Amino acid sequence: MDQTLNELGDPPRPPDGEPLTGGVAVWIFMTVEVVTFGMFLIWHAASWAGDPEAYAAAQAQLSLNSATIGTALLLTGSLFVALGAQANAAGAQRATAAWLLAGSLTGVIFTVNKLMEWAPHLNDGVTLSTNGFWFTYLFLTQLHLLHVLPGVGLLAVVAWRAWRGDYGPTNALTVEGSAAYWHLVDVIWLLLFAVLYGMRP
Amino acid sequence: MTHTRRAVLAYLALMALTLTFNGVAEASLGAWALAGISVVKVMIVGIVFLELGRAWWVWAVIAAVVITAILGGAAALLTG
Repeated sequence: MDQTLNELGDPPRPPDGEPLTGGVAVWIFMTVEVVTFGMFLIWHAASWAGDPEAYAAAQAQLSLNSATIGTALLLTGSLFVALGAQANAAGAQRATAAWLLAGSLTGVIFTVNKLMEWAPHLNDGVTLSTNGFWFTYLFLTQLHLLHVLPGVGLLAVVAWRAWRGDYGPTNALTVEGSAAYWHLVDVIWLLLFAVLYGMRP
Repeated sequence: MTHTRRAVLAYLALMALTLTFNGVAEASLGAWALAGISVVKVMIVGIVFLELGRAWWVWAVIAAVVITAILGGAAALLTG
């Protein structure tokens, strides 16, 4: 029977010389991703001066509250997958599965939240070519969702395999890699949330 | 402090910062304040959730990129 995380306490730390958390490939991918999104966002901010009235009007139409709810969902998912990775390091496979599945569900709810956020804009006829602000907003939030959806599936599959007992303290690469991927999705969203929804001259 | 307790405290801090961000943005208190809040949030996710014992140097590169993007965005908005 699985023990609770509080009963287990800290899992043992991996010995020196172990590979990076989740594997090198995940970290290379993360670096490339944040560089790509970061460059887009700096370009977006720099473009504001070229059409300040249109950009300000477009940003005023975004729902900050909807984005705040989305942020809360992703942060909650990050907590769940972090607890899942800790449960796996402690050998609690059923707890690992439960936490990862909960993380996956936060991604599903985030997706619904995002679709509801886009709907009024798209119904009003906003497209990628409306102006620079809408291009960046639609393109980057859709690209981000294309990172969320594989994460949802990945966490669900890893949760199922954890339930079967496929992982554990000595076989943690997949669980840690999945968790690291989800944290990446979270970090990228924090970037988008800051620059697209909040910042203005 | 156990990893679990640390993660939960980090989560609570992140939620509080998210609500603070919302309030600051609604009040139009400035891009630098929003950038500062966002940088703190990103660092909390990296340091607590990603468990950087074996990867802090890679995270340092990623954090530098993320912070540059946030602060660069704020600077571009205010000086553009």
